[in-house]
Amino acid sequence: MQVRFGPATSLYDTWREHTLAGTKIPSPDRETVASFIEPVFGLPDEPKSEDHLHGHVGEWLWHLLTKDNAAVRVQPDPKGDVTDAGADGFSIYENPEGALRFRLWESKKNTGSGSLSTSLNQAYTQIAISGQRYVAKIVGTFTAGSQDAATLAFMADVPAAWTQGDEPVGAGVTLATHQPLPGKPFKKMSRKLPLLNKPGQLRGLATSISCYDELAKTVRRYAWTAL
Amino acid sequence: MDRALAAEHLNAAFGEDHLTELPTVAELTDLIAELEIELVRGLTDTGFRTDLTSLRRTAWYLHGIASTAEGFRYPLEQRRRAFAVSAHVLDLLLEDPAEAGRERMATAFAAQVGYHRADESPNAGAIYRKMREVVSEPAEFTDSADVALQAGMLFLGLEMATLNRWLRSWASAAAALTRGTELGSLDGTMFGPTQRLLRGVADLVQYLREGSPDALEAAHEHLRLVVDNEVGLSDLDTRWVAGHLLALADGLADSSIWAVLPPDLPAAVKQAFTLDQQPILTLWPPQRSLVADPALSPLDPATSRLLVSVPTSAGKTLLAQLIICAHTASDERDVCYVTPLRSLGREMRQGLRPRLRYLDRRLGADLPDGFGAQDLFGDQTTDGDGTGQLPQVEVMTPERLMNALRQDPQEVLSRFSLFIIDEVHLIAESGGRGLLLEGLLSLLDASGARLILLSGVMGNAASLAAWSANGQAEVLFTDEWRAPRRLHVLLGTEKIEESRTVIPARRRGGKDKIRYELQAHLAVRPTNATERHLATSKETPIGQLVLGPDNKRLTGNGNTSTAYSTTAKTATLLLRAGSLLMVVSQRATARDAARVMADELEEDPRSQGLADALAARLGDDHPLVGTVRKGVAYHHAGLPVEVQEAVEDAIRNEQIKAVVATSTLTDGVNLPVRTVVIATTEYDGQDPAFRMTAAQLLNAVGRAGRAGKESEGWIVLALQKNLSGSDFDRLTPGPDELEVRSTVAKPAALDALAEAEALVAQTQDAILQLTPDQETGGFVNYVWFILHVLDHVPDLAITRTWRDVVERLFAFTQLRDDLKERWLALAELVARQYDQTPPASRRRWAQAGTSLASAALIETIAGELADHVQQRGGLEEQTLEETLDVLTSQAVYTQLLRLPESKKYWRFRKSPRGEDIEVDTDSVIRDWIAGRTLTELADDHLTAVQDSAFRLEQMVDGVSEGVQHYLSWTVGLVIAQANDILLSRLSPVQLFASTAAHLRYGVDTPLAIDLLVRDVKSRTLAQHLGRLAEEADLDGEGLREYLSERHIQGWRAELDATPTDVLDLLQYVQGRDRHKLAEMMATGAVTAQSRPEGSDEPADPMPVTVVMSDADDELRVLADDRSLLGVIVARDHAGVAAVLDSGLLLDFTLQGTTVTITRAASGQLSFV
Repeated sequence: MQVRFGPATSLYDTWREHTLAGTKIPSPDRETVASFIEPVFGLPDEPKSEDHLHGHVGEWLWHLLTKDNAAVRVQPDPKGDVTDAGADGFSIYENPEGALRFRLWESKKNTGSGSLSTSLNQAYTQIAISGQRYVAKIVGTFTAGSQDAATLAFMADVPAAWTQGDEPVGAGVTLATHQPLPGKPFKKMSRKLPLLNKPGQLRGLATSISCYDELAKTVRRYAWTAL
Repeated sequence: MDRALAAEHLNAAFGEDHLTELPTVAELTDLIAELEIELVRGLTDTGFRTDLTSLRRTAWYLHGIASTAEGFRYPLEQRRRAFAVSAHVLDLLLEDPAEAGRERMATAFAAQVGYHRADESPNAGAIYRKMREVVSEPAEFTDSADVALQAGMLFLGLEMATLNRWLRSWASAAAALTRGTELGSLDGTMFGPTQRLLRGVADLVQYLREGSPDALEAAHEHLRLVVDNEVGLSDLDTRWVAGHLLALADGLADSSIWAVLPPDLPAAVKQAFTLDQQPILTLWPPQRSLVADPALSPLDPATSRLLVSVPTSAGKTLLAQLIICAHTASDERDVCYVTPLRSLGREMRQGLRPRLRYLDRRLGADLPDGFGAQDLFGDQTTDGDGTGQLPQVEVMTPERLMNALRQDPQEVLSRFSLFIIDEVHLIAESGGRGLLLEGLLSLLDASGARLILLSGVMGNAASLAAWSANGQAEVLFTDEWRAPRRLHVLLGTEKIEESRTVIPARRRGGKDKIRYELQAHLAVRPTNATERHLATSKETPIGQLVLGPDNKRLTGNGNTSTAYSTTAKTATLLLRAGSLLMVVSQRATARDAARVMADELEEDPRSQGLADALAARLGDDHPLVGTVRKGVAYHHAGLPVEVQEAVEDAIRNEQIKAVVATSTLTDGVNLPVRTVVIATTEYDGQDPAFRMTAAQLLNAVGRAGRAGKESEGWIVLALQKNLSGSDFDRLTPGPDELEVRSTVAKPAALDALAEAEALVAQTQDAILQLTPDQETGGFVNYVWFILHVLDHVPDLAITRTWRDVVERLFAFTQLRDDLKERWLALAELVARQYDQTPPASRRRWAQAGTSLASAALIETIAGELADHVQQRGGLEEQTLEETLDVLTSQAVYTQLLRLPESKKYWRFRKSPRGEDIEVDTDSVIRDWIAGRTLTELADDHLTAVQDSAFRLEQMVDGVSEGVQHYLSWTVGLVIAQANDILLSRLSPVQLFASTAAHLRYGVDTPLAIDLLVRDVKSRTLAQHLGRLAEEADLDGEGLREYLSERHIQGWRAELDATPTDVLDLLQYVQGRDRHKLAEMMATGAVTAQSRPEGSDEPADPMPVTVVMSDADDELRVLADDRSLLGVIVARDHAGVAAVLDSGLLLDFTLQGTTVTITRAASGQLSFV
């Protein structure tokens, strides 16, 4: 919520105080705060799909678990653009040899009774089918002057590298679920993304939280309490 | 198919990289071709049959490499090519129903970016049109990705009206949210990026509208902050849109009106384009390169000669508007724009009217060709205090200009300082028009005016340019750019073997017939190298083939279907792709083909308004009314001009889906459509003059694909033969076939010359016997005209002899020396005859514009008329009624209808092939002028015709061509000459001078004519208002007041005004007031009057808003609490509407009944 409000600290404080006290924010602040909560969560009388909620919580889990890596150069915070016409996230980082690498992340959540492999297969397919589009859009945000020359030069190589599955690019799939994890949840990944067969090109991150659904709903309950 | 699909362009897009995971160039060409084919064939419910995976990946790969930052791996030209190819493919992929929601919006935006970056910006507008429904409501401000994509698509589509409305809605949401946070902006919050993106877009719009460099710089800053992820949590789409807008900003700025037009050109000229309801904000490549050309720029007054030869849809019409507006801004004399294509002239008038009004210049009235000089100059337009005449722009046909020159050459040549002659390649047009145009050029060249020639693609543009330059510097500008792609298709028929049935002979001893059903066979050429064949379903045959003994094709009723009907049926299948123009050879075919199409279609709700209006004008039984109900019209010169105009507007506004038109350019619609079907009749042994020439074909082809509306056009050539690959070549004629040859240099003219020489050898007055249907007649007439001009323009006569002017004809650059001498010898005879003719007759014959023989006859009729009137006596101008009596008693109509110029304009038959019937011309004319409807005229005067539709159709044709065109013209001549004769005899009596105008417009009051010449299209309305004014003794100003008092509601209730009538009356009532938007831009404020509604008029200025009411289209003045204070008066309505449409931010105050409009203090939309 702090990231959502940014410098609107007094609004954030208002929201926080009321949430902790379990009281409702009076108008007109209530309407303003509601605007900040509405994306992804929806509002108490007009909730958004729980899939979006689960997905968003999963994205934040991924982000919090991966961003504090010293090698990461660029990795935007998840906005929660959950209806999705783009990738769920990407990361530009340095490998141990100091070379730049690009990884496209696809985030999946599994909260129902469906099998984990179905969710994961969807993620692989999405990367295979739509990866080139996600890459093109990401490249479009690296306009001249937006980053240092090395990063821009690297990003100029990414579309072709992605097409060919060359070493500088890779894919990651993150899975958040309430189900227990098998020993090798991502074992089919290499088969589904055959071009990405060089060392380090594939990553998987699975988070199993037995009360995942409740966790997500708790997050939402906090968001809504003061409204 | 052109451009993006050419192998070299694809290769350039991929560059040196050989990517094993993408299709090869050849494979890609095939895949794209496959998609194009599927679009022609029609998609399945689930979309394309082809697997799109690799195509989609390739498109995004290319879009990706094209989007990489400048100065790194990919050179500029490769990125440009990659953008072009990816845009093309992504554009096609939008047709795939699997693309939905935000993914489809992203595909659309990426295609728009690609088109812009590839310098094909009109196609980005076309993409917006495909996506219109997605942006029909503004996204919630909090849905950042949707907001970003909507704003991006609207901006790149340059769809300013919607974008402005949405920006306002988002601005108020953003501002409310900003207030709620008690911050200066939303920077740093999750809405910071959206707010900045929208501010960037609003600033870009402001730059394009008003040219302020500060706004451009501010836009850069806003967008940069979004891309750099510095203003809060953002989603990829918002950053992506911002990144591309940032990359595009400079390119757009460079192509904007503000950057391209010279800095010393007054800002008002630029505003006239950028603040319009449908603003022109950027220019296309050919327009930019021409304007920027140091030696050729038509905006430089020093450019006195120029030939611009560019393909259709390259933006020639807009260029002409720019030239006109720029010229009138710096020159006090008038401008004359000439086009032989009437529909182009009408389009030009529509485009120019608001711009000239903005510039305080006037557009001359739209008068018929035959109207004399007194009518042309009768429009004594004065400014507000009636002191001086304002510079004026005239839009006319070559015929009307020639007629004006015949009447008063001195006046015309001194009045205009710029002539723009459009479609100048039509000098090659046979039948008299070409020579007329060529002759005009030669004379105008001798005048001191600037002469700018515009043409389509010509094989020999350089030689026409050399003629125009006449030894001076280079004057030719050519450019091959054109935005929409074109797909070529051949159409034939095939018999369905399994449908073979034997039709037994009816009589004993007769022969059996064999019947097959037909399917359409389409050969499609999606790329230069590929050709695919398609057939329509056997389940839905498009006609039948009936064979007699010896396999002879049987035609006629019940036998083999006509070619036009099978083509029309196939054409209906292509309608789902967009609007369609079918070109046929004859008027009757146009009507019948429209009927065939209409039979295949359901009633179209969008077309009912037009159908009702046509029914009111033509009568319910007219076949056009029936076809229009189904969304199909036909169009030819036999229809009343107003009907032609309504049909053209309707196809432009998408009220109808298809038009069937005849192929001659005089008749044809000049309007671009999605699909052009060429279905002219061709057969072996046909006179080549009746076939479409390569230039005509190319012109028709050029109509396919409307720049800004579609990114692709289809051209279907229907052939009545087995299709062969070489038939495609006809659609891409080479320079030889497109050579423009003067009609005087063509074989037919040389044959006629030989005949004329033979006649001269035999007869004394051979010159007077040459008929207008041959080039010799036209040439003789022209020489006579030049002699007349030199007699009346002393300045010209000092510098030129008739021989100089005649030898300046373009023909003389194409003729062999001996032929030149022979033509000049003929001209010499004309000069001799001219010398021997009495001066008054010389002048009258020149003024007539008919063949000399007819002119002599007209003069005789006029003389007899003058004698008659003088005998009857009188002291003043007769009334209309009296003059009509004289015309009847002297059998003037009968005599005029005998002249060869009258063709078959006034011929009536019992049935299409039945015997002729006599019609009382005088009585039809009187009823026509009395305002009776065409149905009434048909029912009363054609009782012998059984079929009511045929009855009506004949009357419409007869009145339109016989009365409105031919008799109006020739009766006008007779009356003008008779009055001239009377004056020369010092007789005070005169025939009613405006008789011809009453014939032309079918109304009986002068005020009704005034209404029709200016703004009002409906004859019924004009007649009604004219009589009303006469009874109440109102003049023009009085009528304006009367109408203004009643306002829109009153017009609807009392006058039964249709929506079109309302628009026309709004124009009419505003009179000559200065353009309110221009006044506000110049002075900072403008006022309008409000008619109070109920509450008291505020004594002190009170802030109000002015909004268009949905219910009655009136402009309401509302208080802060939305209560109604008043309505803007009718006189000010159009002016205030233009101010509202400008997209500028405005403040309104009301004091008493005066609403003052100023630009909002902040100057721009506030998002904080």
